[in-house]
Amino acid sequence: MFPIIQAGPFAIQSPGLFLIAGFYFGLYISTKKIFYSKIHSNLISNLTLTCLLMGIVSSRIAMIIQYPNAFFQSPLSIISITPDLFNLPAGFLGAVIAGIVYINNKQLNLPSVLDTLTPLFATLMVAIGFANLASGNSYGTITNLPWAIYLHDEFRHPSQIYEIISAVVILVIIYVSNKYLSTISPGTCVIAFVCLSAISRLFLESFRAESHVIFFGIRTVQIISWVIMSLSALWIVAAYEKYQKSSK
Amino acid sequence: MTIISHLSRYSIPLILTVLGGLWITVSRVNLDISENKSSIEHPFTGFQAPEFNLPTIDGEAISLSDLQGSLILVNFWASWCPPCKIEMPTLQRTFINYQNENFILLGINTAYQDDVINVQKSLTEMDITFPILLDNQGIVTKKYQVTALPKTFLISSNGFILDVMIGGPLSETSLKIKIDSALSEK
Repeated sequence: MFPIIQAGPFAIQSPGLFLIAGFYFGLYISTKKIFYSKIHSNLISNLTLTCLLMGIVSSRIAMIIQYPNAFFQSPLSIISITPDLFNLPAGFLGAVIAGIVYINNKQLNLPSVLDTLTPLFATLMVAIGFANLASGNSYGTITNLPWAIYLHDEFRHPSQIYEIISAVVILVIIYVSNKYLSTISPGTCVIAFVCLSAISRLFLESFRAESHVIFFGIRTVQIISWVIMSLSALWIVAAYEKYQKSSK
Repeated sequence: MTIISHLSRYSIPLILTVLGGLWITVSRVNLDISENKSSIEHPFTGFQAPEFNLPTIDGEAISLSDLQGSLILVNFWASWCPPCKIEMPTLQRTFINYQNENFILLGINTAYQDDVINVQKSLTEMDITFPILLDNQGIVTKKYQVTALPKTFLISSNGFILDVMIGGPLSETSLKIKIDSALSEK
């Protein structure tokens, strides 16, 4: 656990640093792999930056609407970079809406754009694993296995390290098979990523100490991952069948 | 025949679904032996806040357990730490604004690595009136795993850590939102 990197008088929040690095490298990989799709790399860069900016703006606006009195008391905090002052669901929604508007305006094919961005999503999953490891969040259940790590006063499953390994494996699979998956049908690459991530979450959630339990000890996240995994696997098989028929 | 051919074509999703269902059942949480965080004292969100008993700068002793029933904000700081000093006016304003609420603000000075004369001088210069405790041995600082200053803990009325804010200076708006939310949840 290393939530702060002290650089002289500056205390750098390491989880944030990992996420920024993940975004940068993910975008780099996505634009490098762009030759498989027919979308210009500038369009992808502009799209991600538009989504990022709109995400930031909408998450702050949502926070201001939610807590007007707090912002009224110190108006300068409207432009503060404090991570706690961002509403993440609203930011995600804002980014998605901005992305859809941009894709429609530029008349791009949504599944192809998502395929192109899949390496970015996969890299971000690796970065999230590192961010969790740095902050100590998403910690594992107590164990006496030889590879247990000492965290929060107990020997625990290194659940964050499991997540990083799994995310790296998924990133490699996506990176290697990106070209082939994109030829099956537009959108196959992103659906394959969703399917692999759901399998990973379904398996690894059982090593997390803080899981929301829905009933009889069954974890909510596992149920959601199970449904997503099954539907995405069905989608891939159906797309592959269609591709085979059309190529005969 | 059609059913068999469909089954064979969709065998991978089918196998995944069955295996996934089995894993969910096998790996379900054993609610009888699952970790009970309420009994563990640890300086991380969701755990019980570690107990402390420290003298104030005026010599009076304050322990965390005596304050149970109130929302508590504990700020670790030192007089030589620039971000700590920058956020002190924010903490003082917060102390004044919530004086009539069920809220207590404590500053814990890492006195084992500070000079009490400098501490007193800083408090006078900044007009600080909220209670300042002195961790002369560094035991509480170690218990709360304070490796970088400032570090602030928001502790619920029943002694659970609601939030840990590492680094500074603190945002007054963010602090207000957290305190208001915690007070309204009571």
